[in-house]
Amino acid sequence: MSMVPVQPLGDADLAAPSDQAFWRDTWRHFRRNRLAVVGLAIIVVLVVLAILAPVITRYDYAAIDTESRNLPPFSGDHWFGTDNIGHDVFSQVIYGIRVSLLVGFLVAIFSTVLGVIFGALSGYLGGLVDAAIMRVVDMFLAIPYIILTVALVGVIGRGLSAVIIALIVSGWFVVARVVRASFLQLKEQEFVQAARALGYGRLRIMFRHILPNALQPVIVYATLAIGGAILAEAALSFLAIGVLPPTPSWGLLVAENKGLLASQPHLVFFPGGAIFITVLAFVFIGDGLRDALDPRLRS
Amino acid sequence: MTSYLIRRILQLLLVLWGALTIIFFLFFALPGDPAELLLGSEKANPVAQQLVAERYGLNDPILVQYGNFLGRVVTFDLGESFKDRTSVNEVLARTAQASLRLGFWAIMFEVVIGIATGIYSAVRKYSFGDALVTVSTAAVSAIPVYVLGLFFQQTFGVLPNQGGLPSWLQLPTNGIGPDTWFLFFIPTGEQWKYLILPAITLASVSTAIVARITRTTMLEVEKADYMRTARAKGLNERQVLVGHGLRNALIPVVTLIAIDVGTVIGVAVLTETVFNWPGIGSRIARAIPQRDFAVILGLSIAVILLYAVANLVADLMYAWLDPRVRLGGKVAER
Amino acid sequence: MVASGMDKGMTGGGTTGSGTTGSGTGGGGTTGSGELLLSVQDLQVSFATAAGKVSAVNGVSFDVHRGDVLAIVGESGSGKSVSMLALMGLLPKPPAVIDGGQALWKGRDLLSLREREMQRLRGKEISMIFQDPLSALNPVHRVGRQIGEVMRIHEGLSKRQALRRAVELLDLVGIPQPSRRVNAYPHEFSGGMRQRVMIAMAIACQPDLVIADEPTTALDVTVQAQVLEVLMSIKDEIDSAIVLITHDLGVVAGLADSVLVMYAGSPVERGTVDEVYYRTAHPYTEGLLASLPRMDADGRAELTPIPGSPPSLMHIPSGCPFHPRCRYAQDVCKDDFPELRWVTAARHRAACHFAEDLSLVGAEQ
Repeated sequence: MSMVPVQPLGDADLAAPSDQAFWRDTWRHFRRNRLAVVGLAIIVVLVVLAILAPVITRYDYAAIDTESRNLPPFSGDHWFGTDNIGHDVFSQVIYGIRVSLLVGFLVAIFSTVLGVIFGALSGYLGGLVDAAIMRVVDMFLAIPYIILTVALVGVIGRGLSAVIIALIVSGWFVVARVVRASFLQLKEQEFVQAARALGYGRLRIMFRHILPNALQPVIVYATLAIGGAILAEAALSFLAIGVLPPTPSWGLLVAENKGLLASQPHLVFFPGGAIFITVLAFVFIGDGLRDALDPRLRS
Repeated sequence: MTSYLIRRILQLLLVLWGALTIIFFLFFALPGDPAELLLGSEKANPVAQQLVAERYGLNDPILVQYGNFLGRVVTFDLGESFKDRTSVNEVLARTAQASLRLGFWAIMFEVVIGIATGIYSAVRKYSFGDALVTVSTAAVSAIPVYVLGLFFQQTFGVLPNQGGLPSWLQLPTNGIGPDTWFLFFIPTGEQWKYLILPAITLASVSTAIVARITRTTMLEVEKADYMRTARAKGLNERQVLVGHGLRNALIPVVTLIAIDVGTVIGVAVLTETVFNWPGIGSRIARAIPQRDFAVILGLSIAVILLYAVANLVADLMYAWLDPRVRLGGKVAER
Repeated sequence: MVASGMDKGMTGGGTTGSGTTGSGTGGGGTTGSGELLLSVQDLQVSFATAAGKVSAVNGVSFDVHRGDVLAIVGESGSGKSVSMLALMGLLPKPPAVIDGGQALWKGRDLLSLREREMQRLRGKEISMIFQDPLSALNPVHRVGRQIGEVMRIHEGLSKRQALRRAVELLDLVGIPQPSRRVNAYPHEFSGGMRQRVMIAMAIACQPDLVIADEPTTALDVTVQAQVLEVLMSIKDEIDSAIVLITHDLGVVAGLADSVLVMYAGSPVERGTVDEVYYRTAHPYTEGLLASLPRMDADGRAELTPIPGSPPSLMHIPSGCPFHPRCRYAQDVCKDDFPELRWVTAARHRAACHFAEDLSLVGAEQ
């Protein structure tokens, strides 16, 4: 039998999928989800409005004008009307974007980072470290979220930074659990054994090798957590244990104006609607990301 | 199964101890002299201060206070309200009834509507109905609960009254109403009118979550190999879906619902406040600006215990439903 | 001599006894013994995907008689599983489309039957065994119940009767302590045992045809032989035919009577095991046989794989799908698609323009 000549490897065989291609693909899938794109567009608009707030609003959100109280929407410059003290509601809502986005992003980012660190340590190192961390996580998770945040705010005090810190502290536990589960599964895989056989240190393996593989649920969670944080801050402010007036928190606005629901419902539903639209946008984006990152849906 | 049960209970006790300890130290680390806070306007009175300090053991070292605290929790003595000296136990008993009733119906709603919607949208995947469900569940989970509650108040309380909507839509939106019940949970007479709006509001977020998760698990199960095997055996679609698919799909859903008790509790604080429903949630909310820590702490402890029990029940149900968990997945010989 | 697959002509009607059960050894029993059960003619299946229409099965034909063991061999993507799933009506109808062909089961075309009629056949006259028993068995149902289910549906047995039969079946497939194990859950069995459970489930109603889709691929090598043995002994026991889908040529040699080799959705060679293995007529089959490592070969000899890799079904080469990898390829191979043509024996066919001309090296004796 004659020798069959070996075909030289073509370029296609040698090119490995790169990170760049991964994100490009993700974006392509994401783009096809109409709701997700709408969500993204909404957030972009909100960010622009937040940045341009001083330009597009005529009144300071804290300014009181007793002459123009209780005006309905579209009265002159007061596009959203005024409340019973004379605040310009439009200003309040627009500046409220800054508060919400700030809270949302900061809380989501930091609680995710904390959760990833502890989850990774717990999942990879196992043993006593895992047991200790997880017991602490369980203990905090045994306390219903509202009660824990109320207590934390009680300890730290009220105000925007206090709320942000409290939400970060009460938010990282769920992430930690999810990340730990991913790490537990991934550390049994062969690429980890290979890395250890090459003498890589544990931290390196955890964060440069395993973590990139565990990121998908984390990214989705972080996006949804932005919406969750916005809702949480609004709820705390609604209960009068969140930010301090006159900080323009939408939740605070709803609380202050709920007594006027019957006569001036717009005072409640403009800030309420703002919360709704913002959180909804993040939910759509989060769903879109989840589908775009799902390996089974990409073929 | 029993060894599993015992292990879980021990774990639970440990976690409970930890949670209560955390809460204790958080509450007692609150800034400000508790005595001042307790006395409110009378804080200048040194005699009153002394009395309060002794009464609540506020001068004892922190560890002694902690010991007392644990002791009282075990005997379920939740202390007395700082404000009006009523026993927190009594407060709990009163408010718990209202909350349990509201919570019960919220969970009924969530289970029935949530699972039915989830199954519907899974079976009619990609249809208009499914898309509608997807969008509306997303929307519902994005509306803050209290805004939804206020919206209901406006639609069913204010507008029918003012003439913006037909008057037969009118529903009461404030308070618990006649508080008449049959067999503890069933509303009698006009009671249901007071119950329905708060219950739906309370259930809203959870219903959306249950619907989504049911849909997701049903779709996953749909693709599972054992479904194909069932068809290969000659079962018809209904037998395949119900006999094989449903039980597998409902496992995560059922446990989610049990854990959801925790979410309901949190959401209840907001819902009860909006509708003035005299439950645990609104009582806690009221106690916050009053700085009535005894009430807050006492009710919180009750809630933590309830939450822990709910989680335990969820775990047990999961083990009962999924034999792989129960039997530890041991592999047979050969 | 233009023998077409249909000319043994016994469509349905008339039971034959066991016919010649060509069991065990390759080459034993000729196809065409026993009653004709299944006759597939020019089956074509495609899938509608986001990137266009993909042809998964491109004109497959074969016959199965009672007692036959037919092996369908090919790499992943060759269309072997898809063909059988199409017959059983188990392919999700969008995106799968049956573009053409017939599958006559005892005279009735399976492809045109309504779902309810198919349900009556599945599990009762034709049953299927799948590749991964862990995922193919329902994890929350006891094994006895899953086996009993088939009998309760098709034969109307009561729960109790079905359970008793299930115990007997477990015993038949060689599971120890069957009366205890019948109450166990799938995850409590080892891989080989689980596959035996699948077999028990498949034969519960004594079907006329058992389709085994890669039944041993997910198992350890040592267990593979045992499971196949069980399968073969069962076949004799209930006098059924077997279609064995596999990519493992070694498995085929010991068990099958006839072989159908598929590549990129098209059949490339068909015949008895003797013919295909020792009078190989298609370059692909030659390549497959040559690439098998041999126990008695010189330890220093290199393995000879087939160069290149199987084409993606989205881009099947023009003409003969194998031509880019074939060392005998000529111009005509690029242009014209080769139909299956007879080689030497009436039933031995190969889809190569030069089938009669090439003298290929088959498996060495």
